[in-house]
Amino acid sequence: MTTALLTGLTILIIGDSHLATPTFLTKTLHDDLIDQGAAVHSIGVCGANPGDWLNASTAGKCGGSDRVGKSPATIMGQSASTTAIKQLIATDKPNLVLVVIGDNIANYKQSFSRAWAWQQVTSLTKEIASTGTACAWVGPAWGTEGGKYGKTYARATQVSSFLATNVAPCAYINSLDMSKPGAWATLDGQHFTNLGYKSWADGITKSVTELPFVKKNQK
Amino acid sequence: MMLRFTLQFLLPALISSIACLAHAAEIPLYASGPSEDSAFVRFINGTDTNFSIVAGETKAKIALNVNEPASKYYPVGSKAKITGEFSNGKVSSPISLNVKPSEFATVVALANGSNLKQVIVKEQPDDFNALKSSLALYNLSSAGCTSAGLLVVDRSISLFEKVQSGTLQRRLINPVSLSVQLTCNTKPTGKVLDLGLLQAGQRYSIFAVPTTDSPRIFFATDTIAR
Repeated sequence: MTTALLTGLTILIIGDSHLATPTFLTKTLHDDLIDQGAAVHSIGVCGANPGDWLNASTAGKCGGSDRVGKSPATIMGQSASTTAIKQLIATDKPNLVLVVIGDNIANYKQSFSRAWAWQQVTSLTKEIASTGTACAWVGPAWGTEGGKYGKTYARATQVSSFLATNVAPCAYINSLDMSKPGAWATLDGQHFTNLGYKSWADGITKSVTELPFVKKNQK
Repeated sequence: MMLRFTLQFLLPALISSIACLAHAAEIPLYASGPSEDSAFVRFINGTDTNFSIVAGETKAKIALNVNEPASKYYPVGSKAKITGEFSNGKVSSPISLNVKPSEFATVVALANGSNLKQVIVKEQPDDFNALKSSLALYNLSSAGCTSAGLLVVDRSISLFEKVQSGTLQRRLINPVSLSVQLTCNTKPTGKVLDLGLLQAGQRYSIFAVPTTDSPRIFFATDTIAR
């Protein structure tokens, strides 16, 4: 008999394009966390940067989705808008906020914009921390090199290292540890096939169950 | 028979692949970052009288009082010239500078007899770290302190050494309580400054500026304006 390790937890997930299509993490991660007993609300806005979650913003102009519990995801369409993180936290009262943003700050086709990324990431972590809510940040997965976004393993590694030392007080969940480079097939270098999204969700869910904050709640 | 058997197993995979490609086509290309890195500018009152900054374009006014001599860092575009003016109603000094992507520029007003002079110091930090505190020493004390340093009081630890006039040094330190004292050419100079308990992930600056006597230091938290 398996134990639902996240029973009693309410988890709010915000993210980018990986959560903006109903078959992506909006399905796999959301369902995995529910299977572990959590109440889950996922919102993804394609193209959204961390700072876009400080105030409502029509971020990436490339779609979004919103899913609560076991209901089907609501498709937001091209004019998808973020909601201010403080407002989401006040409404949902989550025990844990999961941020899934990595590729969107990677600038794969140019040099890494470190000062911009620092400003973006820390503005969001400070906003979440100001509410006293526990949080974890999920970094980029390997994907496959090339594609229309120009993804590279070197930049994915650089962004992951940057996030690992800059998301505190959020915990960091390192997606690069979950597979070998290129192991999960992609559609365009960045977005995975259904199988890839299932593997990524399994890895993230395992990491969430091992967070010190979550383990403390299990006792 | 073999063909039918193969199709029976391949068809679902084929449909799944087509569905995936359809989804792929639905994701328009979007930017995964800005066209250039951010740039920031802040203003410091290094004198012993109150001053204001008036922005050249917007005419927005920022008070730089002696007790709160540092402004926040303001995000700026790297292509536009930043203009403004330090002023206290009696003396003024025009501001004009460009800031490149990734640069954090600090414009400091210093007393120059009965007038003002400015020093502009730029850095391109790569030490961003939410687990440590980042501390900088800006040596703006001119001839009064050509080689500045910073001692941790009561611990005989040197945080900075040989910071030349008009330059800065920055380093990561553990987020602890600190009291520090300026050194000029290795000699302890001026009063002890209590920094209090430093916070992890926070960036700080200490400015050494000239006075009529020996150089003095003051402390600012490097915050970004929203």
